[in-house]
Amino acid sequence: MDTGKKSYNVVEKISFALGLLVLVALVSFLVYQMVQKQNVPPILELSIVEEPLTPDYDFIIEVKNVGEETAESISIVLNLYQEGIAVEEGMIRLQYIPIKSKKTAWIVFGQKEKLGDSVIVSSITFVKP
Amino acid sequence: MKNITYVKESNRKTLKEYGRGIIGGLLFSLPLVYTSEVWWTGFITAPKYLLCCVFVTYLLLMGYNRYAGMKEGSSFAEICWDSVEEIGLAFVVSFLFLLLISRIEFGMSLEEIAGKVIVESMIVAIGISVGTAQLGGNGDDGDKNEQNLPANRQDGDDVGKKDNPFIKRIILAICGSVLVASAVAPTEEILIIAVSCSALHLLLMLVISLLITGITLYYSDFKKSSGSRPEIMVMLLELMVDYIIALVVGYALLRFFGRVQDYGFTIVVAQMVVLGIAGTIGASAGRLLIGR
Repeated sequence: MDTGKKSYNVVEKISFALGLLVLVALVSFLVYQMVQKQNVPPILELSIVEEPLTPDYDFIIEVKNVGEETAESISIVLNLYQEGIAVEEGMIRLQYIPIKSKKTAWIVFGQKEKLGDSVIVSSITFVKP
Repeated sequence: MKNITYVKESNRKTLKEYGRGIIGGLLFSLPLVYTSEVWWTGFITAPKYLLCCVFVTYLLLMGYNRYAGMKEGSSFAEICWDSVEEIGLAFVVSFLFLLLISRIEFGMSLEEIAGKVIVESMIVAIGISVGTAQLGGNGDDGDKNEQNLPANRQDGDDVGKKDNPFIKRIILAICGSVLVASAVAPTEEILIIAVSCSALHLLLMLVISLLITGITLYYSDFKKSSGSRPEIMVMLLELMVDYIIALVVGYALLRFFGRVQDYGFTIVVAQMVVLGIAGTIGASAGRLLIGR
């Protein structure tokens, strides 16, 4: 352990300091995650907003995973209801939504827009990787 | 004035060294950087496994720097110093490269960004270490080796100590095996091959793995392989050691990439044998290439 024998130049000192900072930050972050983690499964929250900028009848679907595990092979089925009847169905498939992350998807319906339309989520399925 | 010139020259050499390291890091890790399964592993893997990954990589870096690193005769503290530098550099390189290929964006969660960068940077770090040590021109290396040795240790100390050849061989074989096998371990193809192969196929793979190692080490005059052939028993022992290293490394990589936990014993063994081909090439040819 004879550290004092070799002299390091400025570049080496800077990169060592940076390396040490990265290593300490990484380990601290991972330890913090380990301590914080409560094994909450994926929880998917959806927000559906009509896209006003396009001529089609389409909606922006934002899916957020607020759980503490990644959701894999997500499949979301949506139905367009007009006058109380489901007139069209659409499906969104996403490969992964990591922890505390969100994905945005678009769904375009073929029907013309009517007053009192609603888009309902029929089912959400996913697997735990 | 002479001192300023020396400092400038020293900084310039270090920057050149880092340049070589970065090239080496990218050279060995590019297949992984472009593999989607590796990005996914970053955010699927539990923090404790990522922490293990950082720890094991650091140990491998120390082992590599001890037995094949650029600075011969380095002390323990210098090896630790170099390994920290390499991890830091690898993290920055991986972050920037993933940003460049838009695999990470600032809108992503910290967990996702950190996970992806950690997984990628660990193999980049080994690549940087190998690149720094092996990709330099002869003249430059020679200067560096001489220049970096403290005066007192040039006369003896660590330099005089003989490396334990068996431990050196094991460490370098592990590093070589990790470098080569990690390029294919995360891919789904390993599982697909393992599932579709019969027992005969797997047996042939095992034999071929040993054959490749044997040819590499004793019959092909491969880079740095010894010209003389040892006794048959010693040869078999060395082949088995390399193969066992390849299997163990293969198992560790498969486990890290989530290819063990939910599969039956037979499939896990089959995957280890399939990955074993890459692992043994790394443990034999790879070891000779990255070794000093």
